[in-house]
Amino acid sequence: MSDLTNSMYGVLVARAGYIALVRAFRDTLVLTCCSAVLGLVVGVLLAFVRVRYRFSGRWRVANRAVICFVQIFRGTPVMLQLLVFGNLWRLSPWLVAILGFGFNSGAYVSEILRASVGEVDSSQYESACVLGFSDYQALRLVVLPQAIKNSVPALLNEFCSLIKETAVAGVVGFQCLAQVATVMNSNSSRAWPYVLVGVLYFIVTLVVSCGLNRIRRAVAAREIRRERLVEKTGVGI
Amino acid sequence: MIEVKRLVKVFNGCTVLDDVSIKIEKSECVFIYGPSGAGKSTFLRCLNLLERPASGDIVFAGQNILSPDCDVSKVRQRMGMVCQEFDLFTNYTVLDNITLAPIKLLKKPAEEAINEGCELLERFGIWDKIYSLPCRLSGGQRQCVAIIRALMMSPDVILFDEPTSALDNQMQLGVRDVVRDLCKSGVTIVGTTHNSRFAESVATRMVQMEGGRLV
Ligand SMILES: Nc1ncnc2c1ncn2[C@@H]1O[C@H](COP(=O)(O)OP(=O)(O)O)[C@@H](O)[C@H]1O
Ligand SMILES: [Mg+2]
Repeated sequence: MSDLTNSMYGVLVARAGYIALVRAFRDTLVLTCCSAVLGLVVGVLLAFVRVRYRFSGRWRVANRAVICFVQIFRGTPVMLQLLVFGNLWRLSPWLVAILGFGFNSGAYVSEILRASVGEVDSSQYESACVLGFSDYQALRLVVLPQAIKNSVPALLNEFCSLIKETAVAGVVGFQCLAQVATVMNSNSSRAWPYVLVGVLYFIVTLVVSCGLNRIRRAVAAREIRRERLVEKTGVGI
Repeated sequence: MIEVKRLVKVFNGCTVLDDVSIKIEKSECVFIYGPSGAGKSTFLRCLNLLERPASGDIVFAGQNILSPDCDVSKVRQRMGMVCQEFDLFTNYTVLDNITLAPIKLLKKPAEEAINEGCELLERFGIWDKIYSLPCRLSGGQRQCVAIIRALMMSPDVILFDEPTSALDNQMQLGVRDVVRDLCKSGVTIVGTTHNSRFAESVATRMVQMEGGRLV
């Protein structure tokens, strides 16, 4: 036991490993959030093309292109995608990682959204068109909001995968948690850096899923409370 | 206002509308009655361009709406429709359901749209449901909201597909008064029904449809 504490003390404190660890922790979170935002934007745009084609038959060529894009990004390892991005353009590791994970995640997000659009009754689209909304507005105002709401659990899942996937960002020189663990391992020749980093990943995904679940429940509860209040008092506005 | 000439609609080789012609003047209230499956809903859906007829012409306010250069959304803004399934937007409250289109399409100030909406909700006796989601309304309340949603666009023509199918007697009387007032204020109404008592109480003209033909 004292052997282990000695090793940890030596690497983390005496050689100031904790600074690298904290920095990598922060960078991993920032990278995940940036990639998730990019992924959401890309995913919504891609899904929009596919859904618009499905409902109105427009944008046939774009629809084909999106299908190819999604297949390529889902069909190849994200590590290779990072390497391609990194060698194609001479960008900073940050940019390469954000672009790589963002586009990869975007492909998955678009599939998630497309599936949840399929769950929205097509009569919703029709009744928006009946009111005089263009097909574009009907999708944006009526269909997509419902689809996004339906897809929250799956998107959450995707976010948690993304946190863990960022562990391969080291291949393009990004100092992520896993990368720091590797360095610490070579300094100590022990397993504990990997376990320690694993625990950090685990805590983050746990916090994220619990936190978002709580937000979702709070939103639902607030909606019901507001409705009850209106029903009881008859005061709407 | 609306002139339909020799309209034909075919579904998978089955002729659902067979050579339908009718002329409807401004502020008329025409109700089409007939057995289930006669093609009444299909006829209204063709007027609204939810279905493309196989042949024939529909002239609305002097414009042939079947021509390719016609702006379908603009036509639908002036020709409201309450569908048989009256699908409210499930993700919006009652208030948002009825104010979405006037705010986004007619660019009405939100306050004005909300005031108008509240007035109509009060008139239909469902003002207390203003913030409810559609899933928490009864069938009749939903149908009323769907009617209000169409009225909020102040269209020149309103198509009513079975407007009273889910309504109790009290609500039917409410809808009857609203329809009468609409006609008086110059709105043209085309409806379908199998409840001839309701139709007789509001219609200025009744036409019968059977097997896809007007008789
Ligand atoms: N989308 C559709 N595809 C195929 N057949 C349809 C479709 N819509 C309606 N029909 C057929 O058209 C006929 C008329 O239907 P409809 O206009 O709904 O009658 P009504 O409203 O008078 O009861 C029915 O026989 C129905 O099966
Ligand atoms: Mg019908």
